[in-house]
Amino acid sequence: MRRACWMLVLVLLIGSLAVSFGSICAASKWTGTIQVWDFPRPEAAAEWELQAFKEFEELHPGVKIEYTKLTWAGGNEKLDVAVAAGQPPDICGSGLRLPYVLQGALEPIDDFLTPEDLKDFHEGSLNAVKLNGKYWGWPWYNTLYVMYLNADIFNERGVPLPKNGEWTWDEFLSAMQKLTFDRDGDGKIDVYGFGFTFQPTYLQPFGFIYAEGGRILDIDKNEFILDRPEAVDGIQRLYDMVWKHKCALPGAGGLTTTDVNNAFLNTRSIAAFVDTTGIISSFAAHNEKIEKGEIEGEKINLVTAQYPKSKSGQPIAAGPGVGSWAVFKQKDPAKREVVMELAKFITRGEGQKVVVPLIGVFPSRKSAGNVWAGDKNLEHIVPAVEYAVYPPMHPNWQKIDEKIMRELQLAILNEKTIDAALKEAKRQMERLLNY
Amino acid sequence: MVDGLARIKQDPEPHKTNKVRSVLKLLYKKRWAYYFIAPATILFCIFTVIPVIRSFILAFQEFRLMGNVWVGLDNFKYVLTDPVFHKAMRNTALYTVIMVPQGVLKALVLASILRNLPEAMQTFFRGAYYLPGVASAVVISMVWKWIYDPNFGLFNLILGKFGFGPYPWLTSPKTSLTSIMLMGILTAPGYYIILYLAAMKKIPRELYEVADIDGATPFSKWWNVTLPLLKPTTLYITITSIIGSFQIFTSAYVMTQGGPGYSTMTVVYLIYNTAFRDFEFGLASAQAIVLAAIIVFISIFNFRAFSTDVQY
Repeated sequence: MRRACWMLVLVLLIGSLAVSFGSICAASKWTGTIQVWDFPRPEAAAEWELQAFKEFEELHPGVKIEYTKLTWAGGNEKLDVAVAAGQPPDICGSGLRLPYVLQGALEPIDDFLTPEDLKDFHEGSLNAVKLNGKYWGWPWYNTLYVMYLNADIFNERGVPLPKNGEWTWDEFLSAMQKLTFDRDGDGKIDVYGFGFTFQPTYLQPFGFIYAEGGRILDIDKNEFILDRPEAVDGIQRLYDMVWKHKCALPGAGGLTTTDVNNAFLNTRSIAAFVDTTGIISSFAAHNEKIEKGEIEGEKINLVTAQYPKSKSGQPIAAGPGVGSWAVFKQKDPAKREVVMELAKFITRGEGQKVVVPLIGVFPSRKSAGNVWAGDKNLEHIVPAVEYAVYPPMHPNWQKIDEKIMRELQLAILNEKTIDAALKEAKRQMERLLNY
Repeated sequence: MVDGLARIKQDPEPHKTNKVRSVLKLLYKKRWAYYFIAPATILFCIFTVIPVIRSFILAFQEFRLMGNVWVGLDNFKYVLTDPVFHKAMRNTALYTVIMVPQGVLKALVLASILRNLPEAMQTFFRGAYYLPGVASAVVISMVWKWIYDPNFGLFNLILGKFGFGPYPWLTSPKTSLTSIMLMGILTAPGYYIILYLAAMKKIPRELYEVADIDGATPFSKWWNVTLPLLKPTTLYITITSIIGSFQIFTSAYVMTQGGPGYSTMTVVYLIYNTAFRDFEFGLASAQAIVLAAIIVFISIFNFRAFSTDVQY
């Protein structure tokens, strides 16, 4: 009995200690205003964001969120000026800029990433926010390129559509060759299988270059590696499609993405091309306008597919980037913790499940599940997300991208050999890689 | 004598003092004139002089968000050894060499033809030629981009009717710069036509009457009277055209973004990219200074070669 009494006292003591320690911890939590900036999102996604901020405020009494909506037109400049003036927001959606990392304007998130987080995020998503061994933003969603196919042209030529949107390189090439034809019998080719272009910031053709392990930079060694055989192989495939197999839209290197989009949607002179998933809605809008009689023309019978798989059968995916939330430098460690919590809250898997489809992209966390289950265009793209390759996280990426693209344009236009173009690109990289 | 020495000691440079005093006196006397030009001068200083000085300083610095760093002549060294700058300079020079002579010649010939037309016709054509100049260069470039479009472009459409093409007007490095020049060649230089017409009207009729008495042919009169007396106008038009051509930007920006490759990369477009895309304001300033130096050199050469003391 006496022992039981002592045990009870001990339990009560430990319990009260735990309660008081908890309340001390809770009391030490920071209270105040968090400045949140974000770029415009689709209406439903923006509403979701506001709701999420409200929920966070409720979970953290005393914390107030002040939200500022940036514009796509002047948002970057506003952010640059705010950072330069030492008055950045506490947190910003799509605010991860390499110069900010180098200038020490951002907080690394490593200390706030749990082992569960590290397991939950797709590797490509995390790599896209990694620089100098640290992570600088909370990945929110992955933007991916997909291959768009005009099913009517496939049917017209009796070419089967890829099953589940998957095909090998040989199957893809064979299809593109069959889809290149003279429709009106005048001896000239009217329809080409594939259309692509090399244009700065548009990395659509790079899925072919990544296929066998080709990459632009080795970010850890800060080295240009696009001239390695596995990458050259991909460039050669694209070149051959234009010059050897003649199944890609001529002048590929000099076209703009608008030219390629026009060739697919308006002149219907290509059967396939690659773009981001975001433009699916514009194809839907095109079909709707035709249905309503607002514009003349034919509805597009759209089907999506992945890039051709690698020789080993691995799915290939490429994207222009990863949307993330960046936390700006905080003087107060307690506030830093709360702001990090907010970033984690916005980018949690449960949230992504709801908001990511509203933006038309793919989740960065595996726990969000297959948000596109049942969607005829995107469901079969989901398995490739895990393998997605994004632009390297390099402070001079914009310049590197421009120089490489211009050289690849010349190679694809047959103005230079691939080798000469890559040598010149490498020479130009020397200055840009040293930062 | 002692007083005099003391005065010299107090004022070691009496001439200088007097000069300053007389300048101040003059300034005071003409103060209203200075009041009137002050607003324009202040604005000129704020929006032109200070940015130019700032740009000159920036050329020796590396721009950083948290404060610039002095790099000496590094930016200039890079500019002068950068193959892209060389290519942009070659493109710009080629554009200038083709566009300036044809532009001056076209304006001169059209103005000479218009001059012999009745006044009403002259007014009509002056307006017709000048009107496109009112439109924004961006709009004109966009229209021409459509004309050159590989899918729906007017040129390929017309040529297609005759079984030619389609031609990659802007999408091949072999034709892209030529296509941009063709746009300039097919556009009438309305402003220069008006300048020439005004200058032609100032030429005294007596000179033509004397030539008539001498039995000169119309071409001979144009060659021996009109042309020499238009020399100051030609000089002005040539210099402003050269400056304009060296600053070609809009068509490269709107129509080709300097590509394919670097085939239509111009110096000003490169400066724009360096400054506003790459945020390398120091390097961009160095590029701008090199361009300015080249323009100044060419302008001085032109003045020396073509300047004239024609008075009439």
